[in-house]
Amino acid sequence: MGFPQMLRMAWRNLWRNGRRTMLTLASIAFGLLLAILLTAMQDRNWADMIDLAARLGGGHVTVEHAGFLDAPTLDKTVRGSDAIAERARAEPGVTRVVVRIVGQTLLSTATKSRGARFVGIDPTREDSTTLAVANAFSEGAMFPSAEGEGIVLGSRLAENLGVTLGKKVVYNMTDRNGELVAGLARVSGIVHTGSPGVDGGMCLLPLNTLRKILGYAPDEATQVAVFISDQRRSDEVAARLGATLDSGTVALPWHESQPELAGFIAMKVGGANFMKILIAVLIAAGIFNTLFVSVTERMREFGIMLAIGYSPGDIRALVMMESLWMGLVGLVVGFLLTVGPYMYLHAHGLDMSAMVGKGGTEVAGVGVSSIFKVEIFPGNAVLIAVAALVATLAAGVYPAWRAGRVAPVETIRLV
Amino acid sequence: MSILRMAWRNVWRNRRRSLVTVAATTLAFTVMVLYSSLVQGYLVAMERNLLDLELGDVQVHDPRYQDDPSLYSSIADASELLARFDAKGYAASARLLGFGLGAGADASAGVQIQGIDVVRDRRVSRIYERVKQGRWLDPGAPHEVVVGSQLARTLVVKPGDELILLSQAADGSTANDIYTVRGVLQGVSEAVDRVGVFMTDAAFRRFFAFPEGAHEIILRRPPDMDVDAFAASVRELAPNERVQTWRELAPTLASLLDSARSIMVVVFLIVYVAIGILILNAMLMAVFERIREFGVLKAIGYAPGQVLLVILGECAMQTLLAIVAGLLLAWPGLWYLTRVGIDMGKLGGMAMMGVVLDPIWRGVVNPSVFTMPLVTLVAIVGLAAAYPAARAAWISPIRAIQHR
Amino acid sequence: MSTSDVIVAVEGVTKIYQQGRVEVRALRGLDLVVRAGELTALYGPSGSGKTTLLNLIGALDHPTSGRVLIEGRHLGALSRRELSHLRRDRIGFVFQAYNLIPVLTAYENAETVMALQGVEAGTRRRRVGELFAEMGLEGMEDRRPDELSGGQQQRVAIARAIAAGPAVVLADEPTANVDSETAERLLDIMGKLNEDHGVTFIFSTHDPRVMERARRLVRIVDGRVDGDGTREG
Repeated sequence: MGFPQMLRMAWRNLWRNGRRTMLTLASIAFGLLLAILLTAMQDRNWADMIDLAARLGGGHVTVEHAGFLDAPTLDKTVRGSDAIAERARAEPGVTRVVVRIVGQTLLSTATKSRGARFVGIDPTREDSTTLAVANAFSEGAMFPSAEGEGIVLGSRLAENLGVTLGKKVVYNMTDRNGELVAGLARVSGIVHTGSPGVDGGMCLLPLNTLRKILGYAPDEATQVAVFISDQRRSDEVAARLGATLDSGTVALPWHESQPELAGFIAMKVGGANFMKILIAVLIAAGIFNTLFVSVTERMREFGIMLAIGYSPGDIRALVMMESLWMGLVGLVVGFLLTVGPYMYLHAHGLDMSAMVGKGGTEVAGVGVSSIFKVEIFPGNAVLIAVAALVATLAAGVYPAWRAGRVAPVETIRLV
Repeated sequence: MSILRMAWRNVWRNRRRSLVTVAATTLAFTVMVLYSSLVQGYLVAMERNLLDLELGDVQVHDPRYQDDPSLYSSIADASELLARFDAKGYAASARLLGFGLGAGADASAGVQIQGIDVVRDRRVSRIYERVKQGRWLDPGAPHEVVVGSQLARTLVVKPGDELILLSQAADGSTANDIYTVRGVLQGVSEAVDRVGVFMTDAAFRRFFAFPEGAHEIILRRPPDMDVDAFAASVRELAPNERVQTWRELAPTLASLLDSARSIMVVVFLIVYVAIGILILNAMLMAVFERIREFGVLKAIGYAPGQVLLVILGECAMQTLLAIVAGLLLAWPGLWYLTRVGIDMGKLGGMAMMGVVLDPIWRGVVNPSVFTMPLVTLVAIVGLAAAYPAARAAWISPIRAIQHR
Repeated sequence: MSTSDVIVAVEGVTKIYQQGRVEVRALRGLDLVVRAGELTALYGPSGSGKTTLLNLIGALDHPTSGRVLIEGRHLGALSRRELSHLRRDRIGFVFQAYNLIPVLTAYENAETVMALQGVEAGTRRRRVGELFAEMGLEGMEDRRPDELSGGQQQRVAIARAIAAGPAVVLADEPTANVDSETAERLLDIMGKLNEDHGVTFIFSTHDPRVMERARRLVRIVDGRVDGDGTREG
């Protein structure tokens, strides 16, 4: 039997009961809408979070001393950091590479003191794509070079220390020999991000000044932070970089240097995937129901078809094609239903402040804004469409099988 | 009664169709019950962690402390206040707070030093349960301190190692002493894990030359009092100080916890809408298949309301079956979730808004774990069944009987 | 008497089937031979087994014992696939009612068996056109079954049954659901097809008008042949 004829017959069979078909299509479309929006929210959100974490931490891939992750003391350094940075820049997919020194310091004024994390940077090499706080200045500005006496504080930290722009701050840290060393700085800028971990516990210092104070060589540092355009390729880039490093130095992708964030994202993604599967199963049940009833209604017709020369395989193929049509039309309707809301949310984001709080929230030290952006990876959209089609076809398997098992004589006797 | 019996038999008449609908509804309901248990478990644990480990129900500070959290913004008559609270039978304990530099053999970091009355503190906080290495403080060992896990990692210290603390004392001199690490805490809060050092109150007073007063008094409410009433009562007892409930101290967290509940309901609705469509479809098919039968019912004298009851009765039976089956299926799941829980692995110890998650995620069992999924399910099913039922109830008998 | 033109041979066929919990003996050791070009009516009271016999000849069912041969091929020895092909290529069916596939037009219904056989479109169109012209169905090609009268539907069914050139056409009470005028017309058509084109027909019926048109009458009573006569004219 010709393929086009069967397809035509299957199409017409679909519309014998318009209302029922429309309802089933509606459920497929609904499922697609949910799946696409959920995934789009996740894709964008987690990508943003990872990028933000990268800009708060050590990039998407961090090159550091092998023992630094477990015991982050200032004697665990990376030598030849400039050469490593050059090599990293040459890797495909890498957008920026910066060299830094990070550690813990005690900041004090005449009357107060506070501990904080410090990040030693070369401000001429960094900007908002490498450093999240670079455009969060509420007062003042970044210090001009990697030399000198500048310091930038988080807003809460500045408050707790009781300092404002221009005031002096002493910073103490333990150098590679275990000696306490100190430096003097003037507050050149204050940043405010809304994230308590950053505002209350972070400061920026000039890289070369730190090198002198800590007795580092001119190209020594504690990390080389590598930023890439697509965070999904972190492992790839880390592996390639790692191969070029000597044995005391490693290149860690973000999920190894920030395992809690990785775990959190994995858990959320797992939860969302579970939801999507659950909804898919429920919708497939609905499709199954519809197809099954439509098959049982037509048993006599199938019997006649078998009598006049259709084979059971033809009948099964016919029902599967009805299932296929259902899936394809469902996809189209789903797409039409989704495109409007998606475009809107893509442009405006979803305001989750009712659920998350106006100032956003902070997870594993990374801030999450209260406006959820929406943007789906094209690969995921295709995956969802394919999955929807497969689910629809799967729902049709049993009804098709039943239809093919009709014994012609049984049904004709039903007159 | 006979209508319900008819409804029951009708459900069994078309077993296969009923089976698919009931199976799908059961699946959805079971999953939602387990999900509800997990989310509520998470909320309960988070609130408990927040209150039991850090905030208590109500805190008292000197009015200056919020803007200027220094050694000097202290509650001068702390011991008198404590006596007043004791008289009222309120659980209360004072804390001394200071900042300084902590140094291990190889590294140093800024730390927040807390001096506590070890015995009293047990009444308001369960922080002592979170010692993962070594032991909690002992008033008889004032030179031994307990540190947060992140701090221990940063300073590379473990129980038995030495810790040097440096700071500025109340009289302006340099405070400087060597202590021994007695224990390491984990999973208290992000701040404590990162920079927390705990010592006895006597040790604190000696180190900081701070003989009197306290920076913070933590109170726990009696079980029969709600938080706001409790705060009001405390305010009366301490009119010169700043008294705040935990919600005022951590408003974002409070709203996070509140809104987590509404997120849960949204999830229910989404899952149930899928079920609703399935039920709507199934019921429409059933009604149209049996339209002649309903026409006969009306012809022999059934009122529309009674036909409505027949259909809704069938739907209710199916849903009831699904709920019972769902509960039966959920039971072992709930047992597992409450007894064993989900091992969060790497997530254990992760912080959300500064509050640390338990390493084992446990579900809870309380009435609302069941009632919320149930109520939402019934609402959606009712909505879905309304249209087909109305169609059947209001058909014209003659047209129905003549239907093909 | 050559055996080469024997289309249908039924040898000692018995059929017992279950109806609920009761055992029904529909056929009891029945013998029958039908040759090419015959217009045979199986008649008898209801429940005599005519429909069952037709089902067996049409390869829709299997006898409990005995053999059925179509063009010398023993049906019991054929696989399900071979039976399916046999029904497609060698046997045509006209049922009492609901013959046509509701979603196909009259033309599509008529051509469907040829399409199954893989006959190319031009040939199909010509053949159906001829048949429709002969049966007075011009202009009805694009109508759906629910837009055709009972008689028209039966005529389309007949066109479908013979379009692919089967060895025998089986008609189960073809006039049962139509009025007398239509019945006459249908019988005219089938008679003409038999006379002018040599199409072999086997009817089952209890309608005297059908019996009048048949040239061979086989009476079935209680699952056995009770009379077998040919009529001249």
